[in-house]
Amino acid sequence: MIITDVLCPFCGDLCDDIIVEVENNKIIEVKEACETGVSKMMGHERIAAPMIRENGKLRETTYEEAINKAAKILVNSLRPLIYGWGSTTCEADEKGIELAEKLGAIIDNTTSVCHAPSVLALQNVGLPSCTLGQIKNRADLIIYWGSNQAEAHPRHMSKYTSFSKGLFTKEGRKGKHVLVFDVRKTTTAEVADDFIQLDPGEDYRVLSALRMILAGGEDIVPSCVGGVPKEKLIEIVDRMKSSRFGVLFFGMGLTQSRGKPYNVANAISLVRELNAHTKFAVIPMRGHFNVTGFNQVCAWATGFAFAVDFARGQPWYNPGETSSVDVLNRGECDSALIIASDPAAHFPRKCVEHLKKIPLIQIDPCPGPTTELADVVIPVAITGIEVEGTAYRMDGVPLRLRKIIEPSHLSDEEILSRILDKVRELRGD
Amino acid sequence: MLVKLTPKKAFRIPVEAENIKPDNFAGKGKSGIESITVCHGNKEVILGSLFDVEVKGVGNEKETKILIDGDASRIKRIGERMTSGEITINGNVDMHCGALMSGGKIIVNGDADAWAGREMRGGEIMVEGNAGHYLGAGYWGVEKGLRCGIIRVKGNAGDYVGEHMAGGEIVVQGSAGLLPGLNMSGGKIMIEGDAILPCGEMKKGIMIIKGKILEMLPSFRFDGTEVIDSIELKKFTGDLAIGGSGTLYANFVSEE
Repeated sequence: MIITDVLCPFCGDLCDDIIVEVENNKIIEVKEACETGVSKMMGHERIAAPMIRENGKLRETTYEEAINKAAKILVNSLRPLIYGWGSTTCEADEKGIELAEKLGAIIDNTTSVCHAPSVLALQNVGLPSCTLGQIKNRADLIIYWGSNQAEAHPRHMSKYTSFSKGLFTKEGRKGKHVLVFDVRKTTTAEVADDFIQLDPGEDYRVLSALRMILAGGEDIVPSCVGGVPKEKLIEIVDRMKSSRFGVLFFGMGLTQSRGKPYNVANAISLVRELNAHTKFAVIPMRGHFNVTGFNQVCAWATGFAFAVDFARGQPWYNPGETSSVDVLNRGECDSALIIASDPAAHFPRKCVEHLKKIPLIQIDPCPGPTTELADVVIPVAITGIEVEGTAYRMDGVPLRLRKIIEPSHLSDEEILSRILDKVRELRGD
Repeated sequence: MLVKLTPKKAFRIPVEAENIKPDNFAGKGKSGIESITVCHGNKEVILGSLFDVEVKGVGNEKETKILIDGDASRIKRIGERMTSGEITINGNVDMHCGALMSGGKIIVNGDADAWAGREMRGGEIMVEGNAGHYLGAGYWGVEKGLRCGIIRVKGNAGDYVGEHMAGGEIVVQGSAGLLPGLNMSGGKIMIEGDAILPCGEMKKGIMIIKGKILEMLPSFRFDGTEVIDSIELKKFTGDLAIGGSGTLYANFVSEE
């Protein structure tokens, strides 16, 4: 059976034109997706059954026992952390937030270690943005700042930016100018018209220089800023002002380098000021396919997009205080539930060491480094392949993930509902 | 009236103790103070379960002095919204110490963690050790950090000192980290040591750096020299990228 218009549950581009061939409830071919997307959809090693750690070893058990044990751990904690949500549905996110509120837990998602500075920045200065469709049809100046999407979002340039053709961009690549700002010549920089190499940690200063030139104060700007000659900066500002429709995409090269949220705020402010001259938009290059969705659900449910602490009943949000890396680094939390993410593979060593010390619950379809530390492991179906649901693309457009094959396991949402029921029962609610 | 609180143990899970302030303790006896609630993780507990409480004398909030005799490095929000009286902490203190306070004095005989004096409206904070990030800053999205009052730090301060500050004064006798005075719109910051990229997007206010500006923003205009506290300092105006008219004084600017 051939299924068309399938959504790829991998990166924040959420490509919606994938063709999948299914035979006997197995995916046998994936077309149109990038290599990473194909690899994810074709499948990997799975966790077969729920497991519980006893005497240092994981032993297989039933869903019921694993869920009961998970609920007991969470109910008996003074400061539980619920983290992950990069690769699941908004429906599961909603259940997770309900669980966190019930437990008085901290709930946080992978935004915390990627685009948290973007969220903080837009709280201060807003986000003049647009959809990827508008960019495809209109943009003639494409800027990538600290983002190597040739490798992280492989189809981004062909679907929406450099190589795409749209209503007012019929010439495709010929009619567009592509600028890349980065600290090294990435694969993305190699196919750009111009590559501006910044000295590491100089983003804030270079953005300030661009804003200074845009404000008409080029006399004040020194001859070289952050490794970029002043003449080059003036040329860039002229090009920005004379474009018909410009867009600035930024990645973790901007959000995670020195000055974090203030780099992003400076970049957004530059874009805002450019709108006095031409149409200009800014879009964060979000990583996982539904990392944006969690921010949306969490914001409408709690008022905050991530790192929400329910310890006092009402939500309190303060990245740096209530964000996962910070609470783990300080050894604050006394249990953790990790879902749809693998922090043991990505977090700083001290955080991983604390995860090892505390009772740890993992909900995931596939084994990974976090499984090695987990005390309760609950396998689930793969979202977007075996489970349908809502996901938000990087530009904030909600799309419906599809179910391609029948699942062999329960979904994230179902597991969370059952943990929530058990928590209610244990607390006598 | 003197109230002495001695922590019964070192906490790993932080205690949220905005109720520790003279306004709440004034006129209360030992048992009254012991029954004041604080939060430990997701549980509400009484002060008496976490601290040994000693009370000497009686008095109103102005006459109330609180001494925390021990490590408070996991006790957050001490003195939050206090209006008068005095708090002394004989050790380090956790985040948000003196946040939103409008009067009285806090003395930290150790280091203060992040957000000390956040959005403070009056009073005084004295930190004998170092201060963390966001000293005298504003909460996310808040337009005004420190508005009035004074914060003194004998050691160094972290990044973003006085972020969104709108009034009052901060004195750091050591060095400050990245982007001090970011978005400031009023008040005065004095850094006796060095600083990195001071006064980004500064609208108004005064920053004096008696040491070096280790890295300088490209959007400040050099406006000659001026003598302050008998030292000749270079004067800059900015942040001109946003049309700001703040004043930045520095003894020395490192060449690139």
